[in-house]
Amino acid sequence: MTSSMLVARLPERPGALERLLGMIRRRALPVEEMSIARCGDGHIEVLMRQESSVADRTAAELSSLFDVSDVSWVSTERAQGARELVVARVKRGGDWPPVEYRVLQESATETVVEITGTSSEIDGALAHWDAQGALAGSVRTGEILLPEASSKKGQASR
Amino acid sequence: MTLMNGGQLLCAALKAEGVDTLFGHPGGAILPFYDALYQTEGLRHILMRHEQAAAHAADGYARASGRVGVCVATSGPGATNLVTGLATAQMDSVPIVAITGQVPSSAIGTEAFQEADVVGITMAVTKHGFLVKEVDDIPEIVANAFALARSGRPGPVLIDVPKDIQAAIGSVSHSFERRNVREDTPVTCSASIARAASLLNGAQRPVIMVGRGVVLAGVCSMVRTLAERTNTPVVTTLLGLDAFPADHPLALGMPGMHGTERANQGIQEADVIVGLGLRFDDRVIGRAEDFGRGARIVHFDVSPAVPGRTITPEVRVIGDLADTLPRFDRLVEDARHLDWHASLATWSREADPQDERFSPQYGPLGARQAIRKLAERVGRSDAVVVTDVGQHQMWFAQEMKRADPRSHLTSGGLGTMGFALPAAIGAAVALPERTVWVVAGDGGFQMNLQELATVVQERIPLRIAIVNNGFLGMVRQWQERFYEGRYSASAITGPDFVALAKAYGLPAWSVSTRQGVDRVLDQVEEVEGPALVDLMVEAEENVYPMVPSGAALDELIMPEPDTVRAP
Repeated sequence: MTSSMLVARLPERPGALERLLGMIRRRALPVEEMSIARCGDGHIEVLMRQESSVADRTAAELSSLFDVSDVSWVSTERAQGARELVVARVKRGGDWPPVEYRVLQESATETVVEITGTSSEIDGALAHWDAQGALAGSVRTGEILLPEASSKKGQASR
Repeated sequence: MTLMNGGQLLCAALKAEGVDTLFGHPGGAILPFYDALYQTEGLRHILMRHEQAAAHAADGYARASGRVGVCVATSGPGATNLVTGLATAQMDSVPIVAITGQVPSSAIGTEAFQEADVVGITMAVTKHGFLVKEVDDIPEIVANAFALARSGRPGPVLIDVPKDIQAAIGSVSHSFERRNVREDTPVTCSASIARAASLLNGAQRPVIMVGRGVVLAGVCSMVRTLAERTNTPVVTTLLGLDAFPADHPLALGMPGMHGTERANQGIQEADVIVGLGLRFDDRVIGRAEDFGRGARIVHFDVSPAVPGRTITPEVRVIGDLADTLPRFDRLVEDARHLDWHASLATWSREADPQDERFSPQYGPLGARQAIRKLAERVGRSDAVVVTDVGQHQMWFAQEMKRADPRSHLTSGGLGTMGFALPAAIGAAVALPERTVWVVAGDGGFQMNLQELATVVQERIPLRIAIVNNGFLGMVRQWQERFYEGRYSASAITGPDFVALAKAYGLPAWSVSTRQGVDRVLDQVEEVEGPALVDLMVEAEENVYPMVPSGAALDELIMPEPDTVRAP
């Protein structure tokens, strides 16, 4: 099974996200991962990862919504560059995985760190701490990225 | 610059969209709008007795006329009562705009009296819902709502207007202009049309399937020409029955659960199926994996979201049929397909639902027999027929011979009992020069019979036929067939429909004999205003052929031989 990433762009207004989520629920569209980001230009972007076999239909269904101003595909190469951010609480005393991190807060027993990286890098870091019993908690953003190219509404293409 | 309040702005914006009629029911939160309506020339308001009926009436108006229908309701229960009507319109791609009153802006979210989040409630059954927040936004929102309702795959749009916004003074700094249809349909690539034409040109056993999209696009005559010059048999869905005449030599009839054997076998034996403006829904295709075994399928649809939902077409042609069909037609070659027609002829008439075997020959008045007589009359006129949902709906669909586009209206997708009477009110208002018949079962008729009062008050000359068998007939038929005859909650009593009609002020007759049907139909047709006939028919007649839910189209259940003998 190959997966595809799709970005839907919505205006930041009440009900827009609810309509998109409602469409996904009503049409039983299988989404594996989803992240939502503000673009800063009055829009939000919803990034979805799903099986490639259903991605065409998802694009078509979402394009039918009045609130969805754009649906675009993320190329494989670009998708591989997707980034995530995680904030983790790590017990002191263990060793550190080979990732770049920034310490946000330290106490006698715990360190709160921020890591950005690919999903696999973050998976690896969290697994590393977890294996040592050092992971006290974490929160992840999900994958975010800038869409490679936008296509006109209703004309999503790979 | 002109100063108007929100209600007046709404009225002006509706008139700018060409609206001439609204179907509604007032209440507290919509009073400023109704006050403006009272003072506005050129907007007729039909007072319906229930908001669900208002939505169906707007739906019937839109189906019959091709224009956008408008319904109005107050906040809370008025607005929630619209939901079934909106869902009905959405499933059948009917453009309507619903205007609802809302509690004042400051009271939203406080569980105020008659407050309901109608934009949220209707999200799943509308193309979009607008909550008006500024009075000056009204012209823009109305223009967007109408454009959206008409564009692409048509459907319902809701505008929710808080009471304070209706009363607030706004300024009109620009003229009201009808907006062009929103350009959200992609331009169809020529390659997909060429591939579709290539498939049809190479076909040995082609079938064209026609749905309501053909009527919406106004290409019925082009489809007929295409079918005739390629000598391709045509199957028409329930909502496409008025797109292609049933008595045409190429017509195979309706496919699916209660379709003809010719239509269903034609689909199963075809090597190429060209679907024009239909959804290939479950009642049409039967078991999806066995639909059109071996056929290569081309699907033309205005919405990119529709093809692929139930079956996977080899070629998708997305776009307005008014654009794509002529381009397709130019690439398609004339053909004969004589062997194919010889093969189709072997199924012909064997299971024709119009065969006399399908209804009792003796005994009480048969429902199909009564409907056949009605269909024959209607077929000789330009009448519009609005059917309800259930057995009578299928019988009428099987019996109708020919119909002009937009002259057979029924709730196909949602299957909404209670649809026919209010939708017929809308159709009759839209087409005052045409006769409009209502055909309903006794169960469905009782769901919205309060609209007889609307018919009388507005002097709408409907001809109403109730096919009265004392059962929720289709439920009973399924219980007989699949639940060993356990008739759980399907027997239904009703009022004396003749006495009821007379209480509302309509002339009415009943008939329970074969010999009397023509006489009472004559009497109904002689009345200038509305009239009703109660067709008291055989209680346990079934609709055949029948493809059980989840079966393949060629797994037809056929009727038992007629066991009713001559006395």
